[in-house]
Amino acid sequence: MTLPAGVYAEAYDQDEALIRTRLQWIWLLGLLIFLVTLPLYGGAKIIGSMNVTLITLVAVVGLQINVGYGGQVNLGQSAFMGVGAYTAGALSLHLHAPIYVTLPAAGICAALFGSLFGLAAVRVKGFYLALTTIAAQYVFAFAMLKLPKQWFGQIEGLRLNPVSFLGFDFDTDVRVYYLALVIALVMIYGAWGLIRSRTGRALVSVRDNDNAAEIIGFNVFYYKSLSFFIGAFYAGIAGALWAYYIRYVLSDMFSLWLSVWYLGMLIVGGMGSILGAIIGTVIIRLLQEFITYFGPWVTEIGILSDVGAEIIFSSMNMLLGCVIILFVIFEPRGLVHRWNIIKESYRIWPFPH
Amino acid sequence: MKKQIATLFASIFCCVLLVAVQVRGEIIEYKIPVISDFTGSWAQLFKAWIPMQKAVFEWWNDTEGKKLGLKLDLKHYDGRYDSSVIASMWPGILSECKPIMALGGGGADVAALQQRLSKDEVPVFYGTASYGYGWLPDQWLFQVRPLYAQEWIAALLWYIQKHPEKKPLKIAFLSCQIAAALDIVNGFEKYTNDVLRPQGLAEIVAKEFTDTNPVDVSSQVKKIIDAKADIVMGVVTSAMSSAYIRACELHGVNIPTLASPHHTIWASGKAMKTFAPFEGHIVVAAHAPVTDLNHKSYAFFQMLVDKYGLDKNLYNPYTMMALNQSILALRAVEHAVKRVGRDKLSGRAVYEAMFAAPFTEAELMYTLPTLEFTRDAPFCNKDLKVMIETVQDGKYTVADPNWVPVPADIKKW
Repeated sequence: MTLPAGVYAEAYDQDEALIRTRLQWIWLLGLLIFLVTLPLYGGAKIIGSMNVTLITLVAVVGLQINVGYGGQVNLGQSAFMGVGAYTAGALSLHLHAPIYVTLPAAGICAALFGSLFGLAAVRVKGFYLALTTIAAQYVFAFAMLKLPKQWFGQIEGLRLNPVSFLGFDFDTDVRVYYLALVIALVMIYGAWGLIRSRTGRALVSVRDNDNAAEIIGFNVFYYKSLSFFIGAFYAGIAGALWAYYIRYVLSDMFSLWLSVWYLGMLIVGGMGSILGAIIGTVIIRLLQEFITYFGPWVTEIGILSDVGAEIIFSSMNMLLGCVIILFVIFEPRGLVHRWNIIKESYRIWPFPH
Repeated sequence: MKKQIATLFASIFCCVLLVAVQVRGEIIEYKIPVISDFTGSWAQLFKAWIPMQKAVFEWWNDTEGKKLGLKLDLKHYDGRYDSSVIASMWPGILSECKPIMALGGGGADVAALQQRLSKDEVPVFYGTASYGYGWLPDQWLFQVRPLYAQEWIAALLWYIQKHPEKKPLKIAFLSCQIAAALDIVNGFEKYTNDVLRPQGLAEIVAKEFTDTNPVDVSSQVKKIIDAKADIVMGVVTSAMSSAYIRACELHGVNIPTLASPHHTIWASGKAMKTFAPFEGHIVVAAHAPVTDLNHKSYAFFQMLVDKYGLDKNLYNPYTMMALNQSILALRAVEHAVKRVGRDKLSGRAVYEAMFAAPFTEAELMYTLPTLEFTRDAPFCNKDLKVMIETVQDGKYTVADPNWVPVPADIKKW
């Protein structure tokens, strides 16, 4: 972690701390206050978007650990999310299990499912591994449609009641927002802690050169599987949140297309950075929301109404695609790299970066 | 004198202006959200839906709406046929439009919204047929057509009646492993095994699955030929339909398919620029046939073309769904106004009106049969009727000019 000049640790505790400076604390508290008070002034539109953003964020942060830190290509994150959603749904529906049981169970089931496909990572890399994880999408959908109806409902899916915790029902958008916010914050905090740990450094070493990592004593098989396990665990938690938000779980919801979007968010935000995953998710979600809301508005403006909604919406989606392409061309290290440059430039001002 | 006349005219003018302003002020406007798909997997379909929805709403605003002092404006949202997009934007739609109802697009919004609509109190109307897994009580989703399986069973019985020499009719399935397609197969299979086979009317001889949009199904069709199937069911996409026709040509056979109008003959025939390969195939739907231009529903369509600038080529199975969806939704609003009055119109009022009285064929401009909704299903499950179309001498035409009844003994599966 780069720090402003003059800021240095005098004790191990300080060195290990995630938040080092007073300014960082102020920013963090400001952000937390903003997020907690958002429903007071945000309106239903913002809260609805935020719910999906927070759920997506958990899945993308998991993907960052798997892809960005572990270096293992994963195009099955949506399927792992689906496993979590089905697990949480089935446990809630059939066993009336409380959320503090369903949530970790969803994560663990998804993680185990993810690890199965992670085993392939020991033998194959790159495109081959990508294909293996795509298989996860199909295996997941097929399994959910074929496993006994009493378990996961087959084609009927699972219909859930609102989740409750200590008698408090999460049955409105605002209540689900607070649930998703707390879970997302915990998961992000956990991810930041993980990547700064021995495990995190091992994942990075395996990513950078697995032969070298093995020579210096890391169990490559273990760490490659672990990166899938952790990434899928995050997806499982995201899936459980999704199940509790929508209250309906069907395999069709967790498509390959969603996995591709998640990877796109990582590319735009920046690989190998938790902050990158956050920035990527927020930016892509903002662009998606922009299209969703700006589109209908544009179609109602005088002369543009004659152009036709299909042209306007299609153009906007092309714009979104172009934005991603431009990022890949001009800033392949993602927005987080740009953010780091801005931060460094500010710190060493008036000297040039 | 001149001054007095001028004053008189000025007074009259002011009075007219006042009355006009008052009348205008009495019109209550509602925004009706339409969950569309401009950029997802059904974008091509919605391209045809939207002008139809627009024309029907404009006509209604000019006629019934004016009488009731209501104006319903459509507002399109791009749901991209993606549950996550729809779930994300729905709270915003609620706060922005405060809708008394909405027009839905299909399965993705059903999945995203069905659990919350009763709390949001917004009935959502759909133009497609229904699925067995959606056959649930107290739903706020309303579908203009019954289950696909119900429609297909009615057509199959009609087909058996027309071909008594083929008893028991050998049925083969060619379908795909998505939830919607499997639902139709399951429903149909149950009815065949429970009712048709014991009576010696029909039996299932083959079940083949392929991709949703396959390139080649010749090996599956070979198995169907080997099973000596008389009819093929379960084709649910135009790509599957086209691949099936190519496979039939390859094997030199023509085993007819039975499907929905938007799945096979019309969709693939238009792409192939001929209906001839579908000779003898049949399609079925619980709405007016698009091939019968003497049908009363066509007169309504023609009026929309003449007065509201609708493209005259838009009378087809795609747009029929949008027409049906719009007309039922609008009549539901009328029923609600009759029950609670214009000022107390709400989502719940529209919902309650759905069960209060049947929607007659005349009310529905003859595009649909009379519909009577009950709380045990999101579709009309009483006195169901379908229309059957086919290809005869290369021409897409009505197979039976009369409504064909759907058997009432179809149970949930």
